Amino acid sequence: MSNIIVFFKYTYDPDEVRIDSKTRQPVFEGVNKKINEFDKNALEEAVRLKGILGGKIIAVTFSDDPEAKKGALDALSRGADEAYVIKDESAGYGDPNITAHVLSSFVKNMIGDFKIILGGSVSVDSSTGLVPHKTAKYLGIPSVSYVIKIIEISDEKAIVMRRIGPTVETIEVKLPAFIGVEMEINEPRIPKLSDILKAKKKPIHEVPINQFGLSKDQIEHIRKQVPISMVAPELKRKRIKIAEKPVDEMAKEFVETLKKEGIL
Amino acid sequence: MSWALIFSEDKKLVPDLITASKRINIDDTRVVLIDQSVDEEYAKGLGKYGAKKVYVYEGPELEKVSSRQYAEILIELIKESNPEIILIGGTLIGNEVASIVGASFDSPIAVEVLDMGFKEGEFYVKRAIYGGKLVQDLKLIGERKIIVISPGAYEAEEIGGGEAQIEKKTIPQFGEEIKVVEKKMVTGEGKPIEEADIVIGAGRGIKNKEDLKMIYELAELLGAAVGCTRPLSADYGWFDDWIGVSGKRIRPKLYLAIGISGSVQHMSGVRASKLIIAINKDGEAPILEEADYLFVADLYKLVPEIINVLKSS
Repeated sequence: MSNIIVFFKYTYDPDEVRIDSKTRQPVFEGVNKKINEFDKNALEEAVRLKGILGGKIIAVTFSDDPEAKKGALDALSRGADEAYVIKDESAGYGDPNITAHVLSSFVKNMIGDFKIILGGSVSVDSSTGLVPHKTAKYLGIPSVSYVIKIIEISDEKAIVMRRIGPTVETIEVKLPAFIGVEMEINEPRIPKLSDILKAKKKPIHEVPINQFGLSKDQIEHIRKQVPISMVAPELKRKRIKIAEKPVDEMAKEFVETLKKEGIL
Repeated sequence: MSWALIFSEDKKLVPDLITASKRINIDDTRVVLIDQSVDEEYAKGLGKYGAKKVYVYEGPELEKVSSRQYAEILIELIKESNPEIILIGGTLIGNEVASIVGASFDSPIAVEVLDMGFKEGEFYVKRAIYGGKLVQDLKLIGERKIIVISPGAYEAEEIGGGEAQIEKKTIPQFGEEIKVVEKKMVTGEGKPIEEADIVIGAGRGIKNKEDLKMIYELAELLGAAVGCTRPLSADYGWFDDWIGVSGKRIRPKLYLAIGISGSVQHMSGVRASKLIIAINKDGEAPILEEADYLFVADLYKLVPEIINVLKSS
């Protein structure tokens, strides 16, 4: 029976990242990391598909974070059967090209047999959406993102639905394939204590990249981007607060504002 | 000679992309248009923004196509014409096309790009990350750079060029691995929010579905379309779709956020709006950071009052 692979990212919740008002720099200290929201949906969908296809759910992450095992444990408590944490400092470069190379080499050399790869369409932090398509390309399989429903799945193909603006597309894709999912696809479970206890008995494998034949030199060679800096933009918004006034006055002021701004 | 290829399935973005190419001193800008039928006058008219040539792919077989097929056309065109840089409009389709094309050539790709330029022979971009909360400066390495331009980052500018030259192309045979079986428009209540000049966003400050009545009443008075945040759609099922990073992205003249605190995932869908006005009872809500005006009030009191004022004026 073929496996179901789920890629997940263990990262910061953007809503919890604060901005230092003086330096405009992000403050990551004290911010909890968690599984990327979209990837939680991918894990939930994997559990549903396992009921149809059978096989094992293998959760995989690529991280430079010493705490990444916590994310793996969360993935296991959400229904994965085993988890791999691929460790390398190059994960910190945030280069989707590197991530795709690493994940595809890992799948080729360490998993082999699989029917489907699931992951979020995008990550909440860098949100490039590139990883599904690049990884699929290196594996020589098709890829479809923004999927809101897997309508039908068999051994050879899947029929999926996606929403692009006001258009709904129904797409037939040959398997194996990489399916990138949206949050609409399902409601991810909140793991119960019993799930977490069960998860602690499941295997978590930590693998360095050389275990599947990649070297540091190779990684440097495929690098396509170098991050220079990261700051919060100075927002050009007016940020005018209208408060502590009677509602009727405020309503008039609201309408006046629309007139002043050329809306009415 | 440096030349740029431009693609967006959303025709409205094409002039912005041409202007973007001019800002980085590309002297030969070419556009690819892919549609069931392409208006030749429109295509030639792209010359006024500075496009020299327009590649046209048209035919009834382009009825049921999506990112994969657009990408296959682009890949073939890039192979035969070898552009130095490829600029793509930042829609969901655009992002996906960029990824597929980029994977095919092992190109460096940047998405959500707000600004870009060459400096001492290197190419740098500024791109939005964390839903636009942060801006990252990146240096891109390698040939055939693919840049996905965030809508609103560049505004089209006419530079008085002559008519663009049209080159009709043959549609290649598409691969069999991915087929679009059906494509249809969903027509929700009222105007589609992507096209409206004024959009009202309803958030969790609205307690019951019946209370949306006053929101729709206000919308009618303002000629606005109504959208919502994720919970009102995904959790409560009051709307088919939401506005945000995984939902719709809009850039109206006015975004009026009612009962919305301003989470990163929601704001990334509305950030390109010209004007943002919020109504929220919490004067410290994160949305203040990103709003032009914040009316700190109980929406249940203020909205009916605004309706009264609008009706009486």
